[in-house]
Amino acid sequence: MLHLLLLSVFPLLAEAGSLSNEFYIDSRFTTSTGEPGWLDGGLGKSRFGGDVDGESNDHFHLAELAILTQWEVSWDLKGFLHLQYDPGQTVKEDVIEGYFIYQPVPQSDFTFRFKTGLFFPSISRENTGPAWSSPYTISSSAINSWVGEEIRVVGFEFKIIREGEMGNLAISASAFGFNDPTGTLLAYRGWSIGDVKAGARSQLPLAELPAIGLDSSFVPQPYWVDPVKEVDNKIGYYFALDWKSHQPIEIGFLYYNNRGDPDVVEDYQYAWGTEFFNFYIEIELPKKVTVISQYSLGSTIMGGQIAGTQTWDVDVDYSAGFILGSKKAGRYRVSVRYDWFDTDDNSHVLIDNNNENGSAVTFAVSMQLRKKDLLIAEYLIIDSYHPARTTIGYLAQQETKAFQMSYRFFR
Amino acid sequence: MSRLLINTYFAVPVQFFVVLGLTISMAFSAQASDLRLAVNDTKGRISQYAVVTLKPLFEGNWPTPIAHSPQMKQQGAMFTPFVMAVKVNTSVKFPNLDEFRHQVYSYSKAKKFKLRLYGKDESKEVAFDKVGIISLGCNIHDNMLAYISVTDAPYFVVTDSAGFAEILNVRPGKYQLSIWHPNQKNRKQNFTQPITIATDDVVMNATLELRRVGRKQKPPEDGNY
Repeated sequence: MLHLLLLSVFPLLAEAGSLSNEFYIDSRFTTSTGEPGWLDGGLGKSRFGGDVDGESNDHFHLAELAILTQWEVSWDLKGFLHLQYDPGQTVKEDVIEGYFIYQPVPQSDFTFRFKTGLFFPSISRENTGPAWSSPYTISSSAINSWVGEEIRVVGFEFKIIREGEMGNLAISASAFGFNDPTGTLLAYRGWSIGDVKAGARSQLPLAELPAIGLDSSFVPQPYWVDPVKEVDNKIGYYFALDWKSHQPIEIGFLYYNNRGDPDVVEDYQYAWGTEFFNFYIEIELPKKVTVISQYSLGSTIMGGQIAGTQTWDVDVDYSAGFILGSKKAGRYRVSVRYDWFDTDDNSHVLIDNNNENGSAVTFAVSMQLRKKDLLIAEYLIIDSYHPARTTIGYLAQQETKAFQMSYRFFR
Repeated sequence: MSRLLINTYFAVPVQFFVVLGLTISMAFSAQASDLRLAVNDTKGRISQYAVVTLKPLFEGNWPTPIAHSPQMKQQGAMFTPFVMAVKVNTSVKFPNLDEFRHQVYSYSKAKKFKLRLYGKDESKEVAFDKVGIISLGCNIHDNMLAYISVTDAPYFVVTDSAGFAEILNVRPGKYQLSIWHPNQKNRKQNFTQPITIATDDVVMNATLELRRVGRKQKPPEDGNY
């Protein structure tokens, strides 16, 4: 419903103010070894995995097409709509973001910014490019891959920025809904390193694990998740603190809690009780070197509470972090990132083992073409241990190596 | 020397004018000296964007300078220049040379305003009627930043990329030399020094205490406006 509303409201109101469209097309060559990717029904970690027999799998394809519409309604009010066509998803055409920002001209050292609609909470320090792409790599870190896949809110965000002598301090608070099934992918699939973006209508696949499925005697979780969905009619919230020093250093944290009621189900989708912290530091060093690090930790619960305990049917703690270094030299950029990730299952491990740990190394080189086009190549190695793989015929320990080359057209 | 030659040349036909011309030119050279100033920070780095003013510590009539309509341009989602100095009551033009909109504002005490500049070649004007530092921003492009220093001093100049400032033809007398920089450590306390301008040109250095990394106007990321 939401996307229909957004799609119909924008053009109707488009007569006032100024409207501008930009197009973003990501054509991709991928060659990858290891288990099949998670979008192909496996427990793989990358967007495009290997063959069923682990052999190299070469693709040449359209990774995504996006239309980005900016609408300057008035001087203080702006609208933004991000539509995506992703042929690899069940729902190919989708609304990734659609929101309004109201920001009156500052009258003092304080700037007030009010945002409403469907949007990403500002967690990722990597995805600052057009259509939520990363200028550093093709695949985002584990944390931000998950943000792309499952963290999208429909609600309000209020932000106050104080401009001070030493830097800018910002406080944000948000009340939101429509993000109840978040946590499903982390529990059943684990972390991933990729660039899938879910939207308002997205339905993302889960591997056909014996513990789940609509006919499962354990939890009737279908083999899919609709990340942007309201299930329990409870309002979630997040708040954040960001410090941007005039020295080239930025630090901050965000706390997210969707306040999901883990026992409520609608349209086969559970409300997962998901909360997490995200911390970041970003430093600009001399000679155009940027260092970014994020660390997240949290938990998710689903199903009934196990009698006499403080655990639920599905009860998983998780954490992930990365450190990324990037250097820009003229039209070129070289980036390297190390990721580590972990999920820790607190319940029913014998029948539903959601434990995982792993790490990844990503190397990327990019070249700016024409004005805004970008050619980017990436080599990715992901090493992970995920015992549930054995229930679908794979070894628990897997290594995926992927080389990708992407041409990002942006006009 | 050249002035002397010119006067002499024009004076050739009538002796009287030779004498008069020489007297006037010599009197002017005696009255007007130049101040040349190199500004750097405590680490010895040259300091561009320092506003140097000379305020007389004596009574006198100071002619209002000819209005020259300075421009604070918006180009490539940046303000140019980054620092501008103007005499109080000067009108500054704000031309938008970009294809897109800018919403220029200031909430500085010396002048609060907001300007809506729709696009290419639109220009608006603001008269700065109070002495002070005006910090400019754009409500659409967070990266944009610039300063206008409004002064009532008869002599003022902004240091160039070599950290160099030159004030020509300064009347002899006692002055308060004052230097403001957007990144000075103590925001409320400008560098000040009394100086005396006599008949000779003055060449001097000034050392400012600046923040190691100060506020800068950064270009927008990868040409993405």
